[in-house]
Amino acid sequence: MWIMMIISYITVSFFDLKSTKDKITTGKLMLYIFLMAVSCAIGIANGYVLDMPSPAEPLRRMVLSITGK
Amino acid sequence: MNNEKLAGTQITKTIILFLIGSTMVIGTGVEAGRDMWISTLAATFLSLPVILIYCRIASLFPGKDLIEILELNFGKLIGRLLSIPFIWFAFHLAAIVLRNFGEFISTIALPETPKTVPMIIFAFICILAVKAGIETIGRCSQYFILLIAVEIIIVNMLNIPNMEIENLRPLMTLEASKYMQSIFTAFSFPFGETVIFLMLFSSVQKKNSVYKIFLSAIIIAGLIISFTTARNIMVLGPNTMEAMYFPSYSAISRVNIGNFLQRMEIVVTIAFLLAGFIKISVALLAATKGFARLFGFEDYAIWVVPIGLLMVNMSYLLYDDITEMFEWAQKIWPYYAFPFQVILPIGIWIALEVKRMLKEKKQQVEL
Repeated sequence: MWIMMIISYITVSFFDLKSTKDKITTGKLMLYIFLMAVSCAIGIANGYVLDMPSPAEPLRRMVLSITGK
Repeated sequence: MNNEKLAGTQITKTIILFLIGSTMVIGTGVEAGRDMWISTLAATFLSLPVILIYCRIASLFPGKDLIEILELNFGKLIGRLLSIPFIWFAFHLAAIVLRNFGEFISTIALPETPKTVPMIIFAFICILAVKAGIETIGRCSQYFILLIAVEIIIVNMLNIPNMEIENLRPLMTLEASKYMQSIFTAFSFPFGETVIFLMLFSSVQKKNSVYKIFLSAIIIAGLIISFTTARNIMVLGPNTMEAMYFPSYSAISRVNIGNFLQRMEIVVTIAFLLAGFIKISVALLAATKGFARLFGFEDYAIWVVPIGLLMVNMSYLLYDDITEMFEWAQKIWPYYAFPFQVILPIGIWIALEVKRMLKEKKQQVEL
């Protein structure tokens, strides 16, 4: 599954960058690749790790501790 | 792309669809039971002072969005730091709404399909819309609102035989704290969420009054939401409605005219999805524009796909199941959203007014 995920991310990135009319500088490209890599890594982890920590959980606990519910 | 301008009516319609987007699907202010519609109506009018603050911030610097305003007044570093919470809020909101619709589709239509599938498809449509720009979203809103208005009128007329006015009585029997809680929930979801439009007001033609746009949209959407809530209570009864995850969908599924005209819920589902598409697109656009400006890029189009895909992953990670999603929407969201919707905008507004007054005084002294 992870191979398919990586291939689909590379395909999407390729076509997305190709269709961009804006000038792509090195800085932009690096940030773009970083964001896509993070997104792909989270996507792969979603498929393999059973209890992925939710980003909403710390917020939920914080709000519940403040409201005392 | 950055020179796109929306007409006043287009942004008004976009705000209306943004407000009714997920509220029509999952409902709001459930704490007030059978008086939910009253608390929604009260929330509409009680949210106006905060909305007026958003309008004031936008009207002080016409043609500029929130991040530009912050940079202009507090300097690049502090301005950008202050804009981070709003970018996060827009991104988080987009992920939450995407998950709401993912759960909705998965519950009502595709229970055997993994919920990531409808979510990815839905997200890709929103990504395409955001890449096409705010003008496209505005034009979509112009047409979608007609469809939704016709749907609301027809479906409500067909539902009249199922409505029991007795379900609304007795009125106002609960303790005041329940109403306050309900109004607070209804304010934070959906009215306070309009704060993200501050990040898009650079795309509105300068001749349009921000006050007129915001206030008319809030009042129209508030009336639609209150009426829909009252209809749901009349059709389902307060107890059944509280037990339902998607009350509007359940209320409309009761339409049955002579065993011939039935299963109208599919038509309504399409209307819900259209409004949801606008809401997710607007939130994603705000997050992407904010992100691009945070890093000093002129054009935002290149960042739509990476941020959109991150949004899909985030929305999948947010909750374990639908119960947790509703617990978050009712118990956590109002408190979590409060700083973004009230505290930060009020702080920014006070700072802007003080700065403006000091500047005027200085000019008077110089004269």
